Amino acid sequence: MRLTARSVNSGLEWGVAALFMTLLVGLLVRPAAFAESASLASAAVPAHRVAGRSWWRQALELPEEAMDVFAWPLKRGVIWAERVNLPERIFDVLYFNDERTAGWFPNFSFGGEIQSAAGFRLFHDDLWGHAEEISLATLFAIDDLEEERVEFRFFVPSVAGSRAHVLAHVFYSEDNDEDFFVRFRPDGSFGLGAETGEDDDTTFELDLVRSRFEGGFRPNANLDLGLAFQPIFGDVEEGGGAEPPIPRFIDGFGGPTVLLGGGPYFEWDVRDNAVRPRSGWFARADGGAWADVRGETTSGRDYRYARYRIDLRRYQPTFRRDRVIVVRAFLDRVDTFDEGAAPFWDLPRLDEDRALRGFERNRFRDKGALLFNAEYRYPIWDTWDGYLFWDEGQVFRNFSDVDSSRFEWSAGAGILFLSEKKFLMRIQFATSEEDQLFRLDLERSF
Amino acid sequence: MSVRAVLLSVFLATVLPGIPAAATSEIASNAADDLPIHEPQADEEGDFLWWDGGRNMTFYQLGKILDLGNSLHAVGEWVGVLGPREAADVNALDEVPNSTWFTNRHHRKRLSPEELARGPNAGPPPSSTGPLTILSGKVLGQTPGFVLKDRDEHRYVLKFDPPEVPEMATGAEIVSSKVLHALGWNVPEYHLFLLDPARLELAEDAWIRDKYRRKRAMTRKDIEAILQRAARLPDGRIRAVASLQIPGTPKGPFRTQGVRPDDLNDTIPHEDRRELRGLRVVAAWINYTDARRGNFYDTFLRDPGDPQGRGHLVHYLLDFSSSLGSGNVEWKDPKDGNEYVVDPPTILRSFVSLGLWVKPWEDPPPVSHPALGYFEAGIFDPERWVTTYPNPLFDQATTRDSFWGSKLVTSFTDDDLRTVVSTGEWSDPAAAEALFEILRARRDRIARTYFHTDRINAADRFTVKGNQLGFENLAVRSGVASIERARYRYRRSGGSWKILARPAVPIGSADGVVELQASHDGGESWSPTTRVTVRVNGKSEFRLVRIDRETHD
Repeated sequence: MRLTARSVNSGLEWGVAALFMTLLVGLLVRPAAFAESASLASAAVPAHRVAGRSWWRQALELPEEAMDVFAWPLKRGVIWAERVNLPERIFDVLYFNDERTAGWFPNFSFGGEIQSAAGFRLFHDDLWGHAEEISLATLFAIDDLEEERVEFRFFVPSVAGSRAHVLAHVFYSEDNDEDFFVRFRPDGSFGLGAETGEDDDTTFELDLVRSRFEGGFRPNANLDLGLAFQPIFGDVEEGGGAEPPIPRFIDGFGGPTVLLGGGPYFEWDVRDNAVRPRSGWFARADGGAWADVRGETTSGRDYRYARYRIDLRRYQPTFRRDRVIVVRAFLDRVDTFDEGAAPFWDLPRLDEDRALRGFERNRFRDKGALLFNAEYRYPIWDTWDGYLFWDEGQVFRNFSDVDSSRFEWSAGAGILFLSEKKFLMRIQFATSEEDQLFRLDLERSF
Repeated sequence: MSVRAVLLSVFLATVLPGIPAAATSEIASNAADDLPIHEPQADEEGDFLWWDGGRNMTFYQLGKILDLGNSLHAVGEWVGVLGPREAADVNALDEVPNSTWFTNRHHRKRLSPEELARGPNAGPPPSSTGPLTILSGKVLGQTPGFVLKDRDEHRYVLKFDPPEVPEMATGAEIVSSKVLHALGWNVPEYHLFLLDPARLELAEDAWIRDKYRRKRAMTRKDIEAILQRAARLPDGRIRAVASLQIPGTPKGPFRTQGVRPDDLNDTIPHEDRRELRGLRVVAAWINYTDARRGNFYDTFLRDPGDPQGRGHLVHYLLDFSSSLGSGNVEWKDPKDGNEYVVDPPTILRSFVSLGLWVKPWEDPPPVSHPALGYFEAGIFDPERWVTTYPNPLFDQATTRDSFWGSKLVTSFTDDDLRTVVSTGEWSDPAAAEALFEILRARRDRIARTYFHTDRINAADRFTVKGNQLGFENLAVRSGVASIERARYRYRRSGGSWKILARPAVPIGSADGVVELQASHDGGESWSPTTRVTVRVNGKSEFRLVRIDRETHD
C-alpha cells in the first residue's frame, strides 16, 4: 500500500502544527500564568483521605498517571491558548481586514505531484465589495527548489452588476519527474495508456504555463455559458527521476512550445447545494482548438489539435434525502487536425488525481479518456460524509478502441470532511488490480 | 493451589480494595463535610472549555483503560465476578445525606407551591428603582450580558435572550434552576427582571475583555454592543435573568474526577458521589446538556467567629440558559442530548453501517413552540441522553444512581410541574403548556426506564408500622405501572416466596432481612431483589437499618 497526499491551503497540517505549538508553548509558558492550578494539580492527596483508595488501587492507576504526565504540557498549552484566545490572534495575523476577506495563508503539500512543498497564498475574496476574488498561490518543493507551482486567479462574478462574469487564471508549474507510461512494440511503434503495464514507467521534466481567460454569462442561476481563451506554454526535457527517460521521438519534445487556443463552455448546475449536493444534475461541457505559434514535434509536425470534455453527474437521493448516489460520466478527448499532433503532456489522463482512484498518478494517458464513477455518500457526522465508490475507465486512441472488457476498475471508501461553506479534506482508500492507495487530499475527486 | 486459583486471588486482591463500600453501615442524614478548613486556593482549570472538553473526549477515555483497577473491574463485571462500582457516599438506606453538595428537599419532604416557585431565591431581585451600575462585561458563556450592582450594592450577573428567540434562554434558566433547587442541588438565585436600559450607568473602573481576552476599560459603546444582542420588549425594556452573586469567595469549578487536594472535607472522589452521578438523570430530564466542569462552582464560606478565618466550601451548579430547548443564542440542535459534539462511536457506527442506521434524531419531532427552542419528548431516551461532551461524573452512574435520580425526578407531580413552568413567565400561555407537556412526558419516560423490573425493584419509601413493612412502588406511584397488575413477593431467611397484591409485608417478630421483589405484569416476571434489614428493640419496636438493592445493568 502506498500513502499519498496532496494539499493546497492545508487544514490538516495546520492541526498538526497547532498541536506541536501548543505542546511547545505548554513547556515554555511562564509558570506564573499557571501558579494556582499547577500547584493544586501537583498536590498529593493522602490515600487515607479518599474513600476507596487503597495503595493497591493507586498503584494500578500508575499507567494513567504516566499518561497525565505526557498530557501535562499539552494541557498547559491548550489552557494558555484559550486564555489568550490564540486562534483570534493567529487569524488577525493571517487576515488583513476585520471582515476576514483578505489575507494570506501558508501552503503545504506532502506527497503530491510536487512532493513535499511549502509556500503561501495571498487572497482577497471581496475586492470591490461584490465578491470579486483575486489570489496568488505558490508552492516550492523542499527537496528540489527547482520544482514549484504558482497560481494566479482573478474572478469577477458580476461585471458592473450584470450577469456577465470574467475569469483570469494562470497556472505555472515546474515538475522534474512526471511519470509517463509507454510500451514499445516489437515493430518499433509504441502504445500508451491501456496498452501499458506498471513497469512501463518513464519520466520527464515539464515547465508548464496553462492560462484561462474566460468571459461568461449567466442567463439564470443554473446556467453558465461563455468563451475561454487558453494559451499554453510547455517545455519538456528528459526526466530526472529514477525511471528511464521518456523517448524523445514522442510528440511533445522539440523545445519550448507555445500553443494558442480556446473555445466555448457550457455549465448547467441544478444541484441543491454545491458544497454538499444531495440531489440534482450537474453538466459541463467545454472544448476548443489549439495550434502552436512556436514549437514543433521532433519529426517536424505542427501542433494542431482540438479538445473537448464532457462531465455529467446525477445526484440521486435514496431511501433518505441525505443518502445519495452520485453517478458520473466523463469524457476527455483530443483529436488532431491538419495532420498535426498533440503534445503527450497535454493528453487526457486517468489516475488517482482524475477519479480512477486506485491507480497511481499519470498512470493512463492517451488521446481519449472515458470514465464512469458511481459513488454512494452518506452522513456520518454534522458535516462529514462517508462514501463508497466504484470507478470504471479506459483511455483510448480511437473511439473504436473503447471496449468495456478493457475498462480498468478501482473501488474504495473514504470520508469527506466539509464545513458548512466549503470542502475541507478527504481521506480515502482505493484499490485496483495494480495498487492500493491511501490518500489524504484537500481537493475533491469530483 | 492451582495457577487459576492464584490468578483469581491476585485479581481479587487487586480489585476488591478498590471497590468503594456499597453503603456505609450508618444511617447518616448529614455528611458533616462543613468542618472548618483553611481557605483553599482558587482552581480555575475547569473554566477552560477547550481543555476540559478535549481532555474528556480523549485522555479521559484512554485513561479509563490505562487505569488498570478500572479495567480489571470492568473485566470482573463482564465475567460476573464483580458488581458495579456503586456510589461511596450513600447511607445504609441507600440515600444521600445532606452535605455541602446536596440537600434533600422535595422528594423527602414536599415543598409547597410557594417554595417551589421561590426556589433558591432568598434575596431580592435587582432594585426596581435607581441606577444600575455596570461593573464589567460577562466573562464566560455565549449569552450577552454583564455584571452590575444595584443601589443596594447587590451584585448580579445579567443575561439576556437573543433577539431572534425572546424568552428562550431566560425562561430555561429560571425553570431549570427551580427544578434543580427543589430536588436538592445548590444553585444561584436567578431572578427574572425587566431592565430599563436608561437606568444603566458605567462604573468608573468598569472593565471588559477584548477579543484577545485582555482586560480593558468598558465604554458606552460596549454596552450598546451587548444590548444590540438582546431581545427587547415593545416598550424598549429588556427581559433579563439577574443572577445574584453567590456568597463567599469563588474557588473555581469543582472537579469531575477525584477530590480537591486542599479541601479536607472532600474525601469522596466526585465521580463516586451519588448526587453527582444521579444528577445525570435530572440533567437528562431538563436537557441540561451543558453540565460540564465549567458550569460547576465552589465557593468558600468563612465560618463567622472562627479566629483563624477558616470556613468550608459549598458546591454549586450554574448556568442553565442552555437547558430545555435553548442553545443559549439559538435553538438547540436535535443532536444535542443524543450524541456528543464529537462522538467517535456514533461516527464509527454511522460509517460502518453505510448510512443504513438512521439515528432517531435525524427525524426530530417538530418544535413545539418557538420560545422553547428545540425541546422534545418524542424521541427522548434517558439512557441515550448525553451532555455536549463526556462528563466523568455521569459516566460512572450505575442503575442504583439512576434509580435515585429518577426518584427525584418523579417527585415532581403534574401540579408541581405547572408551578415551576409558570415561573418562566412565558408571554404565550401555549409555550408554558407545551413545556409542561414535554417535561411531563420526559419525566414519565424516565420513570418507565429506570423503574422497570428488568433493572431494579422500584419499591421505596419504606416505613415500619407495627410489624408491617410498608413501601411504595415508585413505578405505580408514577403511573407507569398498573396498580392492578402490580404484585410483590417476599421471603425471610431464604424461606419460600409469598406473593402479595399490596405493598405491605409482615415482618415477623425478630431481627432479620426481608427479601422483596416486585412484578408489574401480574407475577409473570419479577424484579431483582431488594433486601430490607429490620431490627427490633427492647420495646418490640421495629426499625429499618439497611436497604440493599440488587440491580441488572
